[in-house]
Amino acid sequence: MKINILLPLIAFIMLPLGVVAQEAPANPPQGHTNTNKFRQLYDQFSSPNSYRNASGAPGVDYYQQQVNYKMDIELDDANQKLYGDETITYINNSPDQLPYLWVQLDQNIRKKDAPSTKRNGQGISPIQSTEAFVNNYVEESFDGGFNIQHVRDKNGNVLSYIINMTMMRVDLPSPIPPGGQFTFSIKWWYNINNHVTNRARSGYEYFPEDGNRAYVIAQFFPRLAVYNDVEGWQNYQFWGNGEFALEFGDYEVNLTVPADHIVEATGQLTNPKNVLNRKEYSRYKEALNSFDKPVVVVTQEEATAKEAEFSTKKSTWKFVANNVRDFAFASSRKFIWDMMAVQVGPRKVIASSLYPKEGNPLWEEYSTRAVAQTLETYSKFTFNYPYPKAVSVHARNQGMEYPMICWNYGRPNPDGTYSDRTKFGMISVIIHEVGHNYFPMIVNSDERQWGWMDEGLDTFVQYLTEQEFGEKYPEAIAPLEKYPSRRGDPKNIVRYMGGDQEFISPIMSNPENVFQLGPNAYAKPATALNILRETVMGRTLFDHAFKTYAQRWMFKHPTPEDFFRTMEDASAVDLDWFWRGWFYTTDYVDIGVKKISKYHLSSTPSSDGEALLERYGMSATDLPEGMLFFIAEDDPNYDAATAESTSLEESQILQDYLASNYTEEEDSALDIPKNLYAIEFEKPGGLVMPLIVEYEYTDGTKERVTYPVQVWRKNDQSVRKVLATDKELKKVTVDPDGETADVNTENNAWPRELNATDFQKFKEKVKG
Amino acid sequence: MKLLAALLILLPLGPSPSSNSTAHKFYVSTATIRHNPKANTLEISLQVFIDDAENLLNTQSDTPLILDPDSDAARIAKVWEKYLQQSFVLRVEERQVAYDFLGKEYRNDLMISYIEVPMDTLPEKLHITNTLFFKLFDTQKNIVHVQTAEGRKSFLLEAESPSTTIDFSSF
Repeated sequence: MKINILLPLIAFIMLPLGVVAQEAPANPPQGHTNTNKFRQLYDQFSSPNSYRNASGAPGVDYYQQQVNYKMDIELDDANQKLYGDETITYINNSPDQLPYLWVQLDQNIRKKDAPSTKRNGQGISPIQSTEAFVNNYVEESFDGGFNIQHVRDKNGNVLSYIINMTMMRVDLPSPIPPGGQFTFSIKWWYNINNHVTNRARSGYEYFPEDGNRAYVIAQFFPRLAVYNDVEGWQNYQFWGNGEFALEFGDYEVNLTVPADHIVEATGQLTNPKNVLNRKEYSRYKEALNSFDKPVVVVTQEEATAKEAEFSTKKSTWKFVANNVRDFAFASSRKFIWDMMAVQVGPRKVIASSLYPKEGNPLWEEYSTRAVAQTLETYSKFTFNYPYPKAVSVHARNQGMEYPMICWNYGRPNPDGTYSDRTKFGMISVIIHEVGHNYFPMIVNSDERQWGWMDEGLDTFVQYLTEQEFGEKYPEAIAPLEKYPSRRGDPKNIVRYMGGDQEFISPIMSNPENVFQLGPNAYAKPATALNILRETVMGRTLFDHAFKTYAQRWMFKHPTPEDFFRTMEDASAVDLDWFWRGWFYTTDYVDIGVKKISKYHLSSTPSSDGEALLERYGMSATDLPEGMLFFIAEDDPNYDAATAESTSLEESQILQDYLASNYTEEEDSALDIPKNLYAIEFEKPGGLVMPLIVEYEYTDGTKERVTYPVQVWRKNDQSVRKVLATDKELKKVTVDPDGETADVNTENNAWPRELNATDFQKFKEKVKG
Repeated sequence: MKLLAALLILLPLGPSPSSNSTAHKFYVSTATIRHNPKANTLEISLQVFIDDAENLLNTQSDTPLILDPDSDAARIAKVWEKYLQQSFVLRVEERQVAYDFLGKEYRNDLMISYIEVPMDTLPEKLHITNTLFFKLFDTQKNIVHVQTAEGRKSFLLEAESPSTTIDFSSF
């Protein structure tokens, strides 16, 4: 009520001042297009259409292709070669005739002279390790590309093809019509690389102590490229950073490996009885119904005993997977195997882990439990996990995801001890990689073009899951009270966003072209979503919109716009300003408080007031009855003695106004404020954000006010706010909890306070 | 010496390593240099990944060292400081500038080292060479931020160009 009374009066004084300040210069500046931070994203977004509608949902004509695979794969452990014979059925659901098919040959990135090995600038570094030098300039490079033996149609006729780097075009005898299908087969083999020395996503780790290898094998077979309404045929080659774009389909895969190997893979194992011994099989059956704790199917003793076996017999593991976009597997005689059942909504899901003894005692303790936690939390924020299982495989130095299976790092010291860092690193990477089942394995975005669509969303839900893991297993994180998430907290992104603009790319960049992929595609989008949830939208609106996106695009191919549109469509929160700032630019947040002016009632106009009157050719005496004069303490006309003696409460003019406009009863309920302040906020940063302010009074009380982000819509640099209060203002703080990722907090408080830097705090601690 | 060779073999050294889809495969350190005009010092905080530092320390030590919690705090501090003095070198007019290593602390997976550089006056130019981890990681990048009352600048140092000169008069 008090604001209602005073605002029109203040507005009279304040608003025209702005006009005075903007007197037209001699040569007015040139015009400009709409650069308002709140303008809609029509300049960035393509028009919605019948494939993808304006709500961000699949349109009436949305389609996607289906590709089914039947494969016989053989792993030659002695020579580290992989052989494959695959039959592919391509189903054309598009409205287009397809005269050729593009197949991805990702292993060709490991061909001896692959262009990807020459894509980076080089120099002679003044300091080099001998190993690096030998590796780069002496040793013959590894030749790991595909050897294609034949490509044939289903009648055995040879099909012509050409290979362009990591892609192969198969020319068809006649175009596949809309609704038609085409079946063909490819036979191939390649040399398997050591993924540890080459830092690859697929390959083996060699264990010199016992001469064994642990294989984690992925993007290992020729796979169909995506054909859709956005890109046509995918034509962005595999250069190494931009990951995969793949179609959904059904898989039947027979994996032939040494008979003493243990295998896990995408899909359900259909012949456990044939590949497991009697003891293993009975524990396997027991594990399928063990909801409270993992059951060890192959023990450490059994796995260790096999290390010297090197069986020359073979055994074939059969897997079936429906509606997956890829297939990967892990195989080794060193693998220990544990498993448990998890209830996810209406479904029983099997969580399991494979690890060599080098992973223990850490892996037996946490891996399968972290898998289970991931399924529970992610399902809550998206949709119930639709696959029958989720597997975590221990691979040195790797974190990499595939449908139902992933590779994760986290290895104890040789003596079995491990640090908290190793433990939390391992739990976090398992949550992250298992979480990738949701993004991009099921919500199947194009990783080749947009790394953030899966990495950013996944890292965001990873943050939520880590926090829940900490709450569920307090003993696992003790003595910490909160799980130490690396990414997600706004404060952790400040160093990146406030860094050198020369080395920062917008999130909306291809992964191949960014300087720091970690902050760019993982941490910044995850933090942006966390800020949307906690600060901009609130949990209720955000969670519903996020879930709507996940459910709309489950088992489909979304684009960035589908995500942006859905988040707005399902929440009625216009976020174009947020997407534009956080995703399309490298702007950062820097909002501060610049000045506090205390105002008093005055019997004569302030100098500003005089200037205003003069502009209209008036003097104070020309004004009608009943005008109030306000004066700031820093005004030249300000006289402290008079100002202090005329309080608002005692103003006759104000009293008369209230008496003549309100009944006595109403009047007595009104409260005339004792103090009037104008606070000026500044925004040196390019990003607009809600203005979160804490007012602290001399009586020790505090008040939190959040002004909507729209306060910046007409002035991108500064905004003033008026505080009418009975209390005496002591301090104003912007973003007191550090929830906006403000890169410069030196201007966040008035009166200015110099926060000790981490450096100074540390020096204080060590030097006293 | 044997241990050093064994460790190096296990470290990723391949040409243009591809990055996997997770946590830490980005080899970056960040040094923030702040001029404190009151105390006439440069305050430097140097942020590195703990596992990188641990790998590095073990190439400099015959006995294995483990960080966070530290297996042997005194020895770790000594070895790390010695490495820092060799790898993070400041010069004014060709002369190496001595600095104090105040210590280090851990934050999540990061290790932050604090270095104080006493100065008589802020020099016109400061030459920095930062070869941290270049021997270990092909793709190591060392970022240097410099902040003074006049402004801030950033530099990206890589194996091929491990040095830069900060011109304080240009801030």
